[in-house]
Amino acid sequence: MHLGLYIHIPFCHSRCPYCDFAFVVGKNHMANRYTDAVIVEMQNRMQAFGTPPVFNTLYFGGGTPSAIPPGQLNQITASVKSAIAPDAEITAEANPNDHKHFEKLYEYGINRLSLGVQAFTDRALKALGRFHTASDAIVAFQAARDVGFENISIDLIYGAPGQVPEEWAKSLQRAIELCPEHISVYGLTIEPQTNFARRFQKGQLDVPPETDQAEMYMYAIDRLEAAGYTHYEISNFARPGFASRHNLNYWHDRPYLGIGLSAHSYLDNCRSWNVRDLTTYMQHIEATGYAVEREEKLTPTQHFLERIMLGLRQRQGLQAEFLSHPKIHKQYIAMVNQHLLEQIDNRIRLTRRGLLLADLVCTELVREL
Amino acid sequence: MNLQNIRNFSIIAHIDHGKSTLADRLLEQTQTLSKFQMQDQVLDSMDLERERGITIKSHAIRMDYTAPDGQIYELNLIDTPGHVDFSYEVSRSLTACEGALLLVDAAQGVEAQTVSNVLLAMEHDLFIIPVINKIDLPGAEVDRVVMQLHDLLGVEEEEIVKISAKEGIGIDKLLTAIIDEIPPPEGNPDAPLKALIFDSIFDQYRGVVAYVRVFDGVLKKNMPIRLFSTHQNYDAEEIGTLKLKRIKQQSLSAGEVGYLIAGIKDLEDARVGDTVTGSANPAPHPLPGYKEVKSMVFAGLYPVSSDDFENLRSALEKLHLNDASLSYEPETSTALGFGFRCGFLGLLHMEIVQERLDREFDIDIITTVPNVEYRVRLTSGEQIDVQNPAEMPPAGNIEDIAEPMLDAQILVPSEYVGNIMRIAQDRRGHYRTTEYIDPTRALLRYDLPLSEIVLDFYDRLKSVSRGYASFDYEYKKHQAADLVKLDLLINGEPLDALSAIVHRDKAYEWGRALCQKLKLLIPRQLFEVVIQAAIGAKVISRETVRPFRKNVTAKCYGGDITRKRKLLERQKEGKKRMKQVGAVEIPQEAFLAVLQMEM
Repeated sequence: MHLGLYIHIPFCHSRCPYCDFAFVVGKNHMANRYTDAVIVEMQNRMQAFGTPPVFNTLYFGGGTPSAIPPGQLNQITASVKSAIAPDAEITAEANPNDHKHFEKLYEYGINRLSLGVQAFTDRALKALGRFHTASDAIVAFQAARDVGFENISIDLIYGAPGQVPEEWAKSLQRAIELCPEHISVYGLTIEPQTNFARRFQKGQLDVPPETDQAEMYMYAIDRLEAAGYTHYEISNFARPGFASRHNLNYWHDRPYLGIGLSAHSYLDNCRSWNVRDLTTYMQHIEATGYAVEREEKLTPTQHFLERIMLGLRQRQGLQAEFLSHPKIHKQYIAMVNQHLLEQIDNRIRLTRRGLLLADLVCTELVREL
Repeated sequence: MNLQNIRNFSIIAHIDHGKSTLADRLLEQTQTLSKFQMQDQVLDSMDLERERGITIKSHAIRMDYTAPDGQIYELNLIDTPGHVDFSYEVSRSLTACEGALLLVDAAQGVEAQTVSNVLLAMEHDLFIIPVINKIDLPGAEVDRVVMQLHDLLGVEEEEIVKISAKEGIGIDKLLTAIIDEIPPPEGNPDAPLKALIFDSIFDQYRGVVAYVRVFDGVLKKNMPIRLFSTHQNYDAEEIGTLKLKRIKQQSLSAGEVGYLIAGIKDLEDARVGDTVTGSANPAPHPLPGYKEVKSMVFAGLYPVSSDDFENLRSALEKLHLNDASLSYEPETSTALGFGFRCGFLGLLHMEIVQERLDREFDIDIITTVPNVEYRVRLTSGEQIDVQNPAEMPPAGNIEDIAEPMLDAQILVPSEYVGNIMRIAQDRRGHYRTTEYIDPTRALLRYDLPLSEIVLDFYDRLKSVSRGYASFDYEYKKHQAADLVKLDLLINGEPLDALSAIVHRDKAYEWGRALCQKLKLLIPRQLFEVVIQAAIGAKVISRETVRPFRKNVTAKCYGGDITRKRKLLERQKEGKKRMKQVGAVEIPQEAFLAVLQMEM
């Protein structure tokens, strides 16, 4: 059985005001105990499989995996070594300020680095509450190349507070000049209960107008495609052959195992997730060996809904037969007539305009389900 | 019973002046009910009535009272509905009586409804016993109310009975006054039968139970009877008197009050105000004053979920069984689907029906803006009644439109007269007279279009008079006015449920307010939504809801597909609660928007 493996490392140097992932700040002294808990959980979860699984991809996400000593990530990798496919894609998310760890990470078998750059202008970095500069990011990228990484991804955020399209174009241009294999472009989302959400509610956050955000997104698509990147998912661009295999696994409705705080798993048509609090997680693991908070068996309708939702996010689109479903077909035709969806060969995908309105299109499509 | 020992009377009072409490006390004092049988306010049997402190349907109850002189008297208390919507029923109940207790709250004093009740009672030649209630309250101003009653009725202080129904003070004196002052009924037991139906209820086992007052002749068990308005014949299966339960009797004779069960299946066949006579020896003429009750206010009632249409139909059927004044007919709206156009006696009646649908039948409904019935003269010479603005013929075919006018009375402390006049003017009122009930209170009379009071008039009156104004009205006539149909268009398609008939001078303001309100309520969509108000082809107001430029979740992170799917599921359910007009989705609140418009 082939699976993706996700491992969550919640430790961060600082709190990013827009982030609502499970993370902790100032608790790096607990990293050792956490690593041990992760290894225990992994062993227990592995034993639950009838036949031993094979991991095609391994992904250290966070939090900030580069924030803890690389040796600890290595301990985790080593504990499942035998289950990792020889050609597996092994990714770690990393913060530019941690570039001194890159050499070790590469040495320990990480073959893909996902750099959380977010912007290449100091103004936007400051507005996003980041603690590195644009030149720190460039230095970090070079460091990654220098130690041997041949598959590097850069994360960028458009729509930072106070950002105008010209500034965004500058960030994008600098990213392209570094020639990474992969670029993710995320629109800033104001997530509930974050610092940004509080400021937004008080009217103290200067979020660019929707028209500017749309322009920035469209500009990114055009600019990156012109530079030779394939737009393969709503927010993801890659040089040929460098699409993120781990993420494609999610979008292709394939199984994965998630280990660590807040990690999600998808096995046997069942989605489950771990507790979100660090101490609770470690206590659960230490007491019972497991930390699953809840699980849900997908109903056929839920499964169908997910496949449409995930399929539409991909630029290759969905197989046309999905949309011949009697409760979807009428809406599908309406969306085609409004130039929000298009058929290419046997697949249906969002048009350029549809990309901007992907959530509305998806809701409209499935409204009768 | 000897006619000399019968007294038929009502209690007339403004809402909250303590009518039901007094009725309870009378029942207790006459030992019609023992104390432990008393459920507070026995006569208000519907939950809703008890909660709102008003009586919706009238009832009657007989009390046998042994007076201090040792004689036994039959006192028939005929309760009347306490709201202007039911003024016809009030008038029929009063017809059944010889006297009335005019009950006035010692703290509130005389109110507009008190005045109109007095006029009504006088119209029916009733003997009025003025009663001041709640004299025990700290805020009681007995002297002031005595003066008001003196001005209103010309009575002297000693003729006024002062009581506290709650504390049981003065009830003995009141009973004595009822016997001494209210005249006994007259009538000829040997003449052909004439009995007035002053109320009727529906009993699911027995069919219609009509409450009657016999004026002439004798109503006997098993005798063949006839109803004047329908010419239908029945057999008087059961007759009797009303205590808390029905007490069977062999006969009811002239002057008496009781009930009649005659195998009548439908409330509409035993209409309030109709006359019962004998089939064998019918009276030549019915009792005067019968009229068919007509709906005054209309609104579309639509189930929120189209699956509930049949449930709504059967709920309306059931309500109609007990309330013949509720009318309903199926109708369709392009925006709201299948529903019913319902007719009500007035706004309170409408509210009561809405609340009962919600409470007793648990059906979520959308109610369209209430409107009145227009009498439209067409250029062809034909005349039609229009109860739904969407059905108003094109302007070109219309000669004129007449709307119902009211004879309205507003009683208000003199310092607020200016405010009230301003509102009445805003509402196209035509001023008639001002009278002073006492030096501090003025009674203003206006001719007022009914359509102008169906929305928030009462609330406005109260708010500009710090709650002191009271208001009463009766239908006068239909009168032609410069009325136009205002359509609301969404992306060019008319939203029929929001069409309205408005006065030409107010059309612009109305249209603009409605468009602005809808702009706030209609969510942004995939495309631009244009909201227009138009008279015929002429657009008089326009607003735009800008489309979404961007609506896309940036990241499906860390394999947490569940969260995104749940969001999608929630949005999908949200869509199901929207009403679709063309391609535009409109939330239910939009249909209520007009009800909350500040005009």
